[in-house]
Amino acid sequence: MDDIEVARKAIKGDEEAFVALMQIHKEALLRTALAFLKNEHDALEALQETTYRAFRKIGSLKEPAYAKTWLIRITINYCQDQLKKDKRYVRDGKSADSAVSDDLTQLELQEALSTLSANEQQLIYMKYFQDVKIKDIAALEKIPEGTVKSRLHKTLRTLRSHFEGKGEMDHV
Amino acid sequence: MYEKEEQKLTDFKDRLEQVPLPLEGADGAIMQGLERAKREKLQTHAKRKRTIWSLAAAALIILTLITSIRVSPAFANAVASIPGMEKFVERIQNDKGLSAVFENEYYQPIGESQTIGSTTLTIEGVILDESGMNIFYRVESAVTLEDIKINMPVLENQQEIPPGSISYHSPLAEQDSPKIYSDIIGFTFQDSVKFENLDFTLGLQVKLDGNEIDFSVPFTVPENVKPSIVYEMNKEVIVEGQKFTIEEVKVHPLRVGILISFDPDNTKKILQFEDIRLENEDGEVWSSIANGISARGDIDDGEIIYFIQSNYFENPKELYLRINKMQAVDIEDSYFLVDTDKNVLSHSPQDGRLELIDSSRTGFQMNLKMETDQELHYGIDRRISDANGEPMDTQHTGISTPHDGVQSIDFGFTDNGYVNPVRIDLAAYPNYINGDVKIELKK
Repeated sequence: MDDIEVARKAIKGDEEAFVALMQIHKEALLRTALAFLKNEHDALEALQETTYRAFRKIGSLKEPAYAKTWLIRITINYCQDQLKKDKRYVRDGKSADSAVSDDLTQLELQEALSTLSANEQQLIYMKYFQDVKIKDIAALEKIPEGTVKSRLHKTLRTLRSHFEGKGEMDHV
Repeated sequence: MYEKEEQKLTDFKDRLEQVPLPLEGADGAIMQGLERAKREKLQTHAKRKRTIWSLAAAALIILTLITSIRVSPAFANAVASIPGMEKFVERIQNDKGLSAVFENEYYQPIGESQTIGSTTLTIEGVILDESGMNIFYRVESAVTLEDIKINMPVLENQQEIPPGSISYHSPLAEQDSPKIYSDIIGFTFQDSVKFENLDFTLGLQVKLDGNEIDFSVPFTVPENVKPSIVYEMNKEVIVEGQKFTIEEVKVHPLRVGILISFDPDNTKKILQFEDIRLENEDGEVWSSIANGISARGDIDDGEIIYFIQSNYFENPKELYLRINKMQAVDIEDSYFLVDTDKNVLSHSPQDGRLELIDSSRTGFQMNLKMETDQELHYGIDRRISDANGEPMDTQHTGISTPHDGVQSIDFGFTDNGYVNPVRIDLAAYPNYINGDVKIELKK
């Protein structure tokens, strides 16, 4: 059974297929959660929460081929909510696993990313960290490809101005 | 153009990919999330399917059966041609009778709406027959409807509307269009009724962002009902020594009601007619149990009306009422007792399928052992009362799908000082009597 078939069955309410779907994508989801939340414990929480939300809403997933992206979106949404609730994740390096963020450039990038809007963060994450094609992002969001592209440009521009406006060591 | 930024992002990605993942905890997290979702489905299921009785005269059994989805092209065409119907397709296509209503253009578009503040309630259309009215409606708002709640639908007519049951769902936010919510409110009348005047008003309270909005939308149903077809049966049946009588079969466009009375001298309580159905001369099933409300009445009153999907628009040469498999238990086995102070199951059916897992003053959890590949698709409680016979203030009840041959049962109630033990009269139980009932329906 291929991934799409698993997703199709899961959408129809097959519980075993749903578990299989989560197994297939757990690594991508954990990686997503780690990228945002920076520690293993919270990443596992995020995976649990993603499973919970996904099981309740799997019926609303229209296209089995987008299951992975759909799940990642759920994870990102959850992570962003958590970050909103608890700013210390971004501000205070202590809550982060050092393996993820022990480098200044990385920290700077992460800070820059954290200034983006939730949608812009999702876009960047999908495009650059999950290598989702612009065409697929457009299909999932139900917007034209051109719109995705212009949003992407705008977001990169924001990132650039963040880097340029702030000296590299500025935040230390 | 943004090579530098893109490079940074790519570097970050590479770095992220080298971070070890906590995979050993992953499966546990998935299972926990799944269990939580299932538990909540179980509970919200009981809460969401709210049912209101205008009169406490009759008890009600709500059953939810999983029926297979089957879309006929005729149905798809019929529905596609009605604006605003897309949202309902899935709900309708699960019900053969409801699908036929659309194929036969018995659905009546209304399109009346009322706007209060930034929220609009629109009655899209109705299906009216002598047994009830299904109202298809839509709520739209300028704000997302994530926390919307629907309360107390009330239907008014100059004529008195016979008491009955109301079924509707509490909304779940729709991912595609979080500012629109659609549902069907189903009014089922206790007695058949034909309205002289087709001017109705639907009252509905919508809670949104902490505000209560009271809608009251007058509407006129364009055409009066098609007459229901009544078969007087009066046929006594004996299955494994248990006697019951098929009194009457009423075929309405929305549903078929089968009135069955039980012999008071029966040694067993018949809980459910699992496979009650109408078949044509070739044994093809024309109508079986529908989703939602499947029966009305209380077995203790000696008679029950069973509802199955309607075959109103079908015209077979011959039509038979068939029953083969009934859930039945000895009278003594038709209830169980839980003492929530002592945490014991003090009485239960003798087959030992029920096991108490845990209890407290606000509820208890049980396991129901099932044979492999078997599932009880029914909620097991018909009535929950305390030692004095006072009804419990039930918050939720539910039964899970099977896991390793066990279905979990969950009851929640408020501790209003009730007296132990708590008594649960069974509505369903996996114990069967079998027979072969075949009665022709003659006009």
